[in-house]
Amino acid sequence: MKPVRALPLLLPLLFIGSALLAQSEESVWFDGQSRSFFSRDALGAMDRPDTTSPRNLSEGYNLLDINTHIEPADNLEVFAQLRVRNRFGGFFGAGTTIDVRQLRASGVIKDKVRFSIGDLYLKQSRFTLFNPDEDLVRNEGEAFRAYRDIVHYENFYQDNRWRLQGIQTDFSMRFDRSIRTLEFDAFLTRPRGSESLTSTLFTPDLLMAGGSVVSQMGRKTHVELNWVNLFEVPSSGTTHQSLRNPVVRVGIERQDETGNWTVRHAVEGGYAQRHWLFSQLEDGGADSSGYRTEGVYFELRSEPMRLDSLWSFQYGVRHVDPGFRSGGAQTRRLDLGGTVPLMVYPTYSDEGLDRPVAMFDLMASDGVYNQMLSATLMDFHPVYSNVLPYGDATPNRQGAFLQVNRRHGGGEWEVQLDGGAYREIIGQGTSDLRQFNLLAGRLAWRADRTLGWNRTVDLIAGADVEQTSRTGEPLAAVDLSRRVLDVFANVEVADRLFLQGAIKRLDAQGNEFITDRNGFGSIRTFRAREYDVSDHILSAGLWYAFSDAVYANVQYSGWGSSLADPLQPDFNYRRLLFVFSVRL
Amino acid sequence: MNTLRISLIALGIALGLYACSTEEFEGPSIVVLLGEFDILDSLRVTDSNPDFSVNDVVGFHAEFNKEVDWTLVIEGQTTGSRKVITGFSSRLDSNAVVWTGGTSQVPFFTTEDCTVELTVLEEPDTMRTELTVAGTRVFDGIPVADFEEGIPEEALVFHQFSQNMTFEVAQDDPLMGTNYFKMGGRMGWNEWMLGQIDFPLDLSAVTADAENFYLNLGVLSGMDGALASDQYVNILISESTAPFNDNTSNNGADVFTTDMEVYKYQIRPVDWIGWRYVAIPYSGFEVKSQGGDNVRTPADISAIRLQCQSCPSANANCPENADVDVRTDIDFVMFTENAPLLDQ
Repeated sequence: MKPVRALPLLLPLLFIGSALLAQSEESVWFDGQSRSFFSRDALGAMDRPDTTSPRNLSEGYNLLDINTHIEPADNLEVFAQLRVRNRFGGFFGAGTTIDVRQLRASGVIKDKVRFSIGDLYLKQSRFTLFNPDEDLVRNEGEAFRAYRDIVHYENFYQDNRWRLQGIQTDFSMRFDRSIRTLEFDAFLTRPRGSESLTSTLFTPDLLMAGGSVVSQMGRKTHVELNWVNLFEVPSSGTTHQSLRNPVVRVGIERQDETGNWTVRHAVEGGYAQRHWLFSQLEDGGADSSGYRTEGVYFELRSEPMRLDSLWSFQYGVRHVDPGFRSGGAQTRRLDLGGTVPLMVYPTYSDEGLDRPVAMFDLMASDGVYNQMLSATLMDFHPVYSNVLPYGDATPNRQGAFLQVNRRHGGGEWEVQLDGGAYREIIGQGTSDLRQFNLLAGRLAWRADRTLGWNRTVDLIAGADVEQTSRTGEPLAAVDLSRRVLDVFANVEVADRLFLQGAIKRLDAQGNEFITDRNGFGSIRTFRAREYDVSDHILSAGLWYAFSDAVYANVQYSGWGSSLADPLQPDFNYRRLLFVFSVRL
Repeated sequence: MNTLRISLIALGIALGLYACSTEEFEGPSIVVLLGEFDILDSLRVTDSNPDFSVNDVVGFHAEFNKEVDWTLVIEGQTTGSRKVITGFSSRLDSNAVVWTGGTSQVPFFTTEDCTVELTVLEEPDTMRTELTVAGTRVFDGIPVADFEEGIPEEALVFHQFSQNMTFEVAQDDPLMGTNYFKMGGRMGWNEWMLGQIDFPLDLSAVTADAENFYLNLGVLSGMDGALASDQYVNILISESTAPFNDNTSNNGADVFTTDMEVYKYQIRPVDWIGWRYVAIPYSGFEVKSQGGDNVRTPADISAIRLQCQSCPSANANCPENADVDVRTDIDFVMFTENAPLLDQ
């Protein structure tokens, strides 16, 4: 939005807010987020000369998100988030933007039925509506928190929820017999409006509807029923095809106590179907459907935990059909389809080669992140995530998983182990099946507690290994291994001032076949790829925590990739970053 | 509890049974994709002596053992014209892979012998056949000028009187037929416009909108292998209802003045040697001056102007142009609906 146009909209709102504040101190309040960001990128040691790229680049901005909460009546709140952003170098309005970033009205009707209209943050289950974490963050901890905070905030990622726009309502009932509670939730959102393809051709609106019924049955048993449908409304566009993707899920959990342990058993399963409806409105003919896929999933899981919570386990088995498609749960955060340009040095070398994506881009380029639900499986990079690229709902997987958590009673250390062994249910391009193994471990040591120091000293080390293989037909053989190492040190050198250092390194070798899908998600072909990659980020800096909500971070990073490919020279870059973040 | 356990087991069994898949594998076979390429049925044509003037269609057939990226090239032995068709499939279906006499790269085909070559990406095999064009394609469209009968009687030509000015019909290197229109010369003073030709038009029968209405024209450049720098064709289209040429003293038509509804497009720079055939959607024209409703309406087009312009050598604008003639000759100017002419 142009600043000149937006100012007349913003100013009355501020005055209205002030006026309401004057009438009643409890009816209006403000919070928000402020951030100052400055980065300076520079060329590092390059494999080949690069005289065409600038030796260094700097970029920065200030932004303020003002959240205005207005309570015009009891149990009713109107929320608006306005963003003022000023790019460094902007002067008297040039480079300054003012946007309405979020709007929502919410309330409770008759103290019984809650509702929200506008920007919603929605999550159901891992198989119906869920925003799985991005790749390569498993053991990272707080190492690159300044970057991750920005990516998550700018893309509205909150607790694995998708930000959608629409209407949502929920209510609950209590009983004193075998069914103790009954909770209902329903929503209708529009992830995407009609879009113009040409002057006469428009895509239809994409909607997502859903509902849940959750019941506590007795003291120990919990039952859930979820339903979502991602669909297009044919009459809202001029194209002749529209999506239908309903998913239904049932889950039952039971919690038992045995001695010093509580054990939660869970079983869940569901069914998904996806097809496109081809309308024949103009011809007056009957509609037809095509590109139909359907499938089920089920999962059995147990979660024993000691009552003092020093030990906890999670293990189980899972099966997700090859045809199980759930756009709400299988959409990826990372859009690696290649259409989004990289933010830092997108081309390199005197030949002007397109720079391959590197680990650093996943932290520093919030543009590679996706906010839109996808009806088809998005592209992924097998080096970053090949075992479960679409989270637990990844189709065509069956196997077992295990997680072990061990915590020291005094909070001195904590160990976490994650493992999984999966295989495909049907092959891709061959009847031979891929085998997937995943093993990750993380040790967090609070050295100050062990050694009796007054100031905080945290040391965290983690490793994450993925292995993919397919034997049988030599032409279709797959053997890909990937290792990620994370090390992070956080030392309090003065009151609230921390010296931080982090290493993140990825090594991958082997081969895999990239799946090329058409617009309806059907596999078109496979492209053979060889990988021999070493990717690294080294970082050191200072962190000053003014409070839990306010911090300043300055850090210097070196990052790059070694590709072992004569056509893709290695690259190395450096970055100086300053972030001052305030949660108001 | 017993009921719950039974329910869980029943649910597991039901889902497990449902989950059984009968499909062998997803997608095309990798073994076939990466395996040895084999030609199951070599290249054939459905008509080896097509007469495109009576709407003959040539179909191409071939079959491979796997899906491949293939390229089919038809090349005229006299003109050097080339029609290129590409695809990704295991089969060329003679009902779908067809040629109707058009070209991908000018000059246009004439009645001539043609070679046909089918190649497959990353495979050494080339499949060949031949055919003879017995009659050339008559393109669908609204002709503006092909200069075969000279300069149209109602057209207006104006040019400056400097060095080597050639605004006339010539026969030495036509794009289509035997004639074309030369627009070029060398400016001796500080003037960008060398000359122009204006045509009156009546397109009231056109129903296409601006995005689906194309101006197509061939542009020839290069003089003895040399090019004038920043030479271009300036195109004006008028939707004015004023008389085309009431004022005979103003060196051109009367419908391009600044108070009229006029749209502009520049083919700039013309930096190639030889002929190139250009297609421009009417929606790509910009508003030249105030006047009219600024809605590009093909049916309202009343005139077109094609100007030869170039950066002048005088006043040190482009001193390198002092020794080279500007050349932006044109031929086969035609409007088409729904698609550019070369896509027909």
